Amino acid sequence: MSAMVLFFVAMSSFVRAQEVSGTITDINGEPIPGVNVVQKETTNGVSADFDGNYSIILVPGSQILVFSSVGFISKEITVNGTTVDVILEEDTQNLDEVVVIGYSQIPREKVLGALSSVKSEEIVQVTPTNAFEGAQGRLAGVQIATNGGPGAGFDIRVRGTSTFSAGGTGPLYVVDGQQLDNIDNIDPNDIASLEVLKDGATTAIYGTRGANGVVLITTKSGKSGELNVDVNIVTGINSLNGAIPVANTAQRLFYEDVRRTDSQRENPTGNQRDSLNLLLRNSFDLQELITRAGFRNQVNVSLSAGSEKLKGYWNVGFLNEDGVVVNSSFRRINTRLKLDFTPNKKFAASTNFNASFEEFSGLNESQVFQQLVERIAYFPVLEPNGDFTPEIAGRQNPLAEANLRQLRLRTWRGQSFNDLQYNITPTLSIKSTLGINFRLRRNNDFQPLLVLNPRNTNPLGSIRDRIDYDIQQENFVNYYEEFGKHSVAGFAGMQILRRFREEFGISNALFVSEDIQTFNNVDPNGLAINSDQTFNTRSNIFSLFGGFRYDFDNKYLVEAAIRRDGSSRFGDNQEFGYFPSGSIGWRVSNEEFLKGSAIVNNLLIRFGYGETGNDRIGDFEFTSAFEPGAIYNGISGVLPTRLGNPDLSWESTNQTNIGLDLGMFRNRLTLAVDLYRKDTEDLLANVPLPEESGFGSIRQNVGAVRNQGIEIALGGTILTTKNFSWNSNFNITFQENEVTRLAGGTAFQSGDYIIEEGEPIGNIFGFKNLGVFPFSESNAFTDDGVQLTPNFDAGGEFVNYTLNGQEFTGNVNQLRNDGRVLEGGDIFWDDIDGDFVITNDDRQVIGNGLPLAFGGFFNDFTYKTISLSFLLDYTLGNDIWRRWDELRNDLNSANETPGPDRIEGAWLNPGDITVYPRLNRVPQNRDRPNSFFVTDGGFIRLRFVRLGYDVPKSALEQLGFLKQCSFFVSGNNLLTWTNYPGYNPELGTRGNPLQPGLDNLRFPNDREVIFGINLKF
Amino acid sequence: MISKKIKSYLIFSFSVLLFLFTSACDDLVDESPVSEIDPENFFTNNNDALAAVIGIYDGMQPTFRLKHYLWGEFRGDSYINGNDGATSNNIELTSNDVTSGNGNAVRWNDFYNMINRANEAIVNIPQIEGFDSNLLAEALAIRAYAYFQAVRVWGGVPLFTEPTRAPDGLQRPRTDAQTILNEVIIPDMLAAEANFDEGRLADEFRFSLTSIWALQADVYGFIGDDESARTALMKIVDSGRFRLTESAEEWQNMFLNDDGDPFSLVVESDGPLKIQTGPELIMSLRFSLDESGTANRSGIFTLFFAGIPSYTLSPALENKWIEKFPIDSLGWVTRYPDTDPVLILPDPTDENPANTTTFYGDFRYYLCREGFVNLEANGVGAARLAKYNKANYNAGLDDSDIVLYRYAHIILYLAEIENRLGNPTRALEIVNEFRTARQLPLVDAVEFGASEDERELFILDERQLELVGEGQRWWDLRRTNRALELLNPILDTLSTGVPLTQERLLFPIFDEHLLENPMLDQTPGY
Repeated sequence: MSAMVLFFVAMSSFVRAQEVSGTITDINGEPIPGVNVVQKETTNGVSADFDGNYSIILVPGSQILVFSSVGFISKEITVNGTTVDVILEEDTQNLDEVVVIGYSQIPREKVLGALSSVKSEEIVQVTPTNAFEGAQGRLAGVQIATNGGPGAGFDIRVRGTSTFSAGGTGPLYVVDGQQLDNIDNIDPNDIASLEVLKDGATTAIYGTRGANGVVLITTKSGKSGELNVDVNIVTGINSLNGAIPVANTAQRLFYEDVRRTDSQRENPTGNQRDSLNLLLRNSFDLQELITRAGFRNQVNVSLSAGSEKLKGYWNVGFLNEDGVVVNSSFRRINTRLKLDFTPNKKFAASTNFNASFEEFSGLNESQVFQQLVERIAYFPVLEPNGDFTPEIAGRQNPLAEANLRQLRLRTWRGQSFNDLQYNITPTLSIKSTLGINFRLRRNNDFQPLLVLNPRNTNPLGSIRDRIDYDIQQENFVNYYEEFGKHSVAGFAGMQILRRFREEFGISNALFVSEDIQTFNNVDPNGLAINSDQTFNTRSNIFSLFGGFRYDFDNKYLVEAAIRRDGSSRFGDNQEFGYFPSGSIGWRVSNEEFLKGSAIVNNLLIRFGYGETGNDRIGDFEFTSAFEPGAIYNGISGVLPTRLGNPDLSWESTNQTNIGLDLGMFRNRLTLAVDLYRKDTEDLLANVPLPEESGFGSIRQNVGAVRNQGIEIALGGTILTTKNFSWNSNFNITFQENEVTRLAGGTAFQSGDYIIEEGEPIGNIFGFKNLGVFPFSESNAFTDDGVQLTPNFDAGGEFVNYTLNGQEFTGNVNQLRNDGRVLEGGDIFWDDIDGDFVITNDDRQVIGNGLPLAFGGFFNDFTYKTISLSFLLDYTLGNDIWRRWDELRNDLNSANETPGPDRIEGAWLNPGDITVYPRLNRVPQNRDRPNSFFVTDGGFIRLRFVRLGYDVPKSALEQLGFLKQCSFFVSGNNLLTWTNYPGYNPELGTRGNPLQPGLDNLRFPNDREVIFGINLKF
Repeated sequence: MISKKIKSYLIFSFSVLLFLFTSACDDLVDESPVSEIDPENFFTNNNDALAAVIGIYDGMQPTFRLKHYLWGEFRGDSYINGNDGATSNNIELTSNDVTSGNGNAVRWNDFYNMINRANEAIVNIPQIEGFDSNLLAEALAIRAYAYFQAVRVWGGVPLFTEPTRAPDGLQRPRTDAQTILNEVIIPDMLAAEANFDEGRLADEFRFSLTSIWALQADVYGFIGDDESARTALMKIVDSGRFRLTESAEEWQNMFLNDDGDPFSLVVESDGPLKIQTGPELIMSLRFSLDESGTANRSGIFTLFFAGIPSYTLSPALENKWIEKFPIDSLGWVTRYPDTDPVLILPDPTDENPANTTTFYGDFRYYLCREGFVNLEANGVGAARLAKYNKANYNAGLDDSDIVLYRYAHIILYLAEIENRLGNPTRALEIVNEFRTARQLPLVDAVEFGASEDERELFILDERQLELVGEGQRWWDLRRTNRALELLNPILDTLSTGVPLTQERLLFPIFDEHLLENPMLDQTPGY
């Protein structure tokens, strides 16, 4: 910019008072209101009116007018006549934009780390209920998967899985400077921009909380000027997407018949004796009965206004969303008030207050969904009098469970963040901040008698309160100065974070009756405190930090920072950790040979290295502990609950990032490529101890994991004419995960997943199913394990074995499993140790739940005032273990029904060549995981299609009071291309990083059609 | 002037920062627990001691809730594999083909957890000024009981007698059984006796003098010191606190935890949920629905009365029962003309309750068997044990107490020892005292047996019928060294049966323990 100033200074030659007027439009010819028109090097300036018209009387001095407006590239025009019409181009590069990383501002173009961002306009396109719904598929390197169900939140994974700790995978959220662990309560309409810091160099300034990436959220602020009122009204209708095939009564009866033994067949069953039994006419489609079309209503009203000294923004939002399953819903009411004071040049202060109430009404997923797919189709669900049928044969009626059980989670949250800045000199400032974050979560559960086991004499009720609050206080100085082509910035300061948690829980209290569901109706003898849910704890982090940034002519850039964190979560031996970072960048486009190039307008090559930590473990795991909670014979006692590890330390991540930013054709085409390698050492895990010590495990720093990958984001304006434009964005991330070291090299299991050196996290460890033996005689192998071919005569009698066409007379071995020789119709298991007995030693890796690639593809078409946009996102190369399908097909209980394909496709008679084994109840069906139930979980999803219409400005002018009026209709999750047969291939891990892709059946996915109106006054 | 001002600001702000940087860092970082206590700060008074001892019992609950039976019951000859679909972990006990992957039966987690809690109490309670020695005695008793189980189950096991407070030195080899017996079990059980006040003679749910004597008798019997065992047993008898039950209903009430009461006139009675009281109960492990969590449920119906049963009563047991106490009137009257059967019940199909039906045979047979008097519902070999419950229900609601010591065990054990010590007359007297209490026909010297061996087998049969489902049979066979002799002929007839060897009388060490601790060796024979 300064170069351009020099260029134009020479231009002014004559001095003359003169009035100049004109119209300012964008490239489509639409007038741009409120553009600042300033006579260069003077204080003379005006604003254009609502129609883009301006008029200015020039004073003596420069004859150049500068036209500037937020979101457009400023233009300088030498006055040459009395009419100057200007066309401003939209600024796609946003050179003036700044990002606050850590404790200092940095122009976005000078960021040397890997940063992905989404803007408010992009977020609202998907009509989200949650900030991350708006970011899905948009951020290279950031995997966002829904956890299922209304209000259930999202699983955010920045650059892979770099921790073993449950609940330790989420990034750190920084909302306008306030550091938070969770932002589910933020109204997506409040967000101005959402940035994800992915690399080590930019996240290192967040020290011990930065290892999983950092999400920066900037909320909207008031702007100087008149009152702006923005109203959004959204209505959506959602419905079940993809029902699971379930066996009907006819299939069930066939299954029952096949399962009967010969001796049982001699006596007809009750069903056979009473063939007109009304029960058998039942064939309920439970999924149909339990789902519904749900509605979403979302209303937002925001006000913003301001003067030079005080700017304000106030938003109130309301959301009510029904789940597709009866009796489930999510409700949120939130309000945010943000005030910025700048009383004079020395002081600046701001306060940001956000309050929200969220209410989630749901159902017990494990009780309902498994029942939906395995309940006997003829079991009644309603009694003749209209009541729900109670438990039959130990099987809960899922309709009763869904309709009658009251499961609620309510969350009250308040966040306040305040800062005060004093500018000591124009280049040096000191800033203090104070943040308070409060969250109360209350779970209520009430189970009326009908949904309980018939032995229960009282209804049961539970309550659980969790209060979390933290206080964050920071003091730091910032320095920034430019000397000619050199610019230097530095900062230093301290932060204190104190976190508190108080929990209280009562589980399954015996209620006197169902009439009153509050705890004044509890039988005093039936009240038991849940000691696991009742405790107080707290932790502190004390941090010191500093850093500097330097660049020469925006061509050679260098940055470094260091942070020292002290955490109360670690013992005196390991209390403090140091987290340094450094990066360098070379803006090739500012070199002489590229400067002014018509093709490449920006090319930055950057390299960064940084260390970060992760401290997400319990609060006092470095000490041993006794806790109350033991009860015997009515007396309370204590028990040792933990063996402390005084040497416990943080997980530390070293990350190297090499990146390239390319802008071509005035940024009509942008490309960002990042390569990273992220090595996490000292992984915190519960390491098994010899159980004879009295403890099962101890928290230790045990291993190392490496995540590496490539992220590519390509964006551009493909077409732009006066009336039509087409923008497109594509991103893809390839990533790889490897456990590089484990303590002692010993593999360990997390459920049915195995974690081994040299292998990625997420390996499903089970038995490989090689098919089904058509004949009992097919179970025959040579000593080397080569399968023999049985031969039969015309009468079906076994004759002999052949091997490669030759009769085999040697030793015949047969596979055994669970104490029996496998027969015709049994599964041919892979016997990897070659001992012909299928045991735990025959387990192998049969799939992996981590994706190899993911990303999104976005397109936006605008024709005059009509716009059409859609987003496809995809996840490829991951497996899902259909645990729910395996469970219903294990034939373990007579009261569960296998899937229809299992029944229809089962082995029935010798010689049948089938996909599924016989229907007899043999223990081998329960060997799990069975590779048959591990399937490819990749998918491509049409996340949304949206058609928008803006009422033309000319029409609005006649109304007078309306500045903007748009309507849209859109569809979310309309189509999914996948081979996965469950409800939803998009499975958040719900906090457990070691078991990705485990589907126990959760809240089904919905498909939503949305209508919305946006009004601006 | 201005630059001077800036300078002073700078100096001021940096000195503030510097001050923050250097001072009070550690204070700002450190934090201490609120809802838990550092073990170093515990054990200051007798309340703490009591809390620690209760903690050990709390550890006994998950330890023995199933293992009491998996160890002592199913390897005997009273059960067969109940269903083809039962889990192989359960089935392999009846076929005596126990594998080292059978975590249900041989995993150590809860077991050593309980021992560690006992070690905490034993080491730390004596440090309390004016400590209650009864509490120390209980901790010693539990540790002796625990290690005695370990020695019976595995032989040698790693020995821990100090609490685990630090993560080092936790991998230890197996200490041989004899050393554990001599250095831990016997000293502990004697010290426990010595530390109990005389007032702590009996306690139904916690260790007391009578239950520690019962433990001593078991330990002495196991090492072949019958004299000492007799002394211990006589102390219990002489305490006068217990007597044998004298009616079928009183006998049943020691075990029943179900709402269906067979003695009620109503067919589907809605009786009390849990009875489990009686004059014979010396010590039981108490479970209660008031305690939260599934570790606080015994859930034993999953073993005895699961919907898909792993175990049903073996034909060997049922035939023994029917042969001794015929269930047909002719057989009974021919054999026992002078004794009337106990079970005379109103006929459920008859409207007049005065009309009754007599059921011949041993009432215990009917009360232990699924279907009660309806023998046709499940034929021989197909009936589940219904001693504790008669219906299949939720494991989370099964709060049946686990009977560890019962007077009938003491009495019959005394008979067994008197026989071995050369007092067959006294032994027969005791057996007949027992038969009288059970309202069963008396035994004469001929039936009792001519040789010590025959008499011992007779007493073992008496014990098997009386104590079925109480985790005693396998230990009876081990103590009298008759497991191979009695079981191998039966195992030969089972398709999955594996002949027992002397080595395989012990259980294997769980696979994962061997992985976690390379100093451990697998039990020979596995």
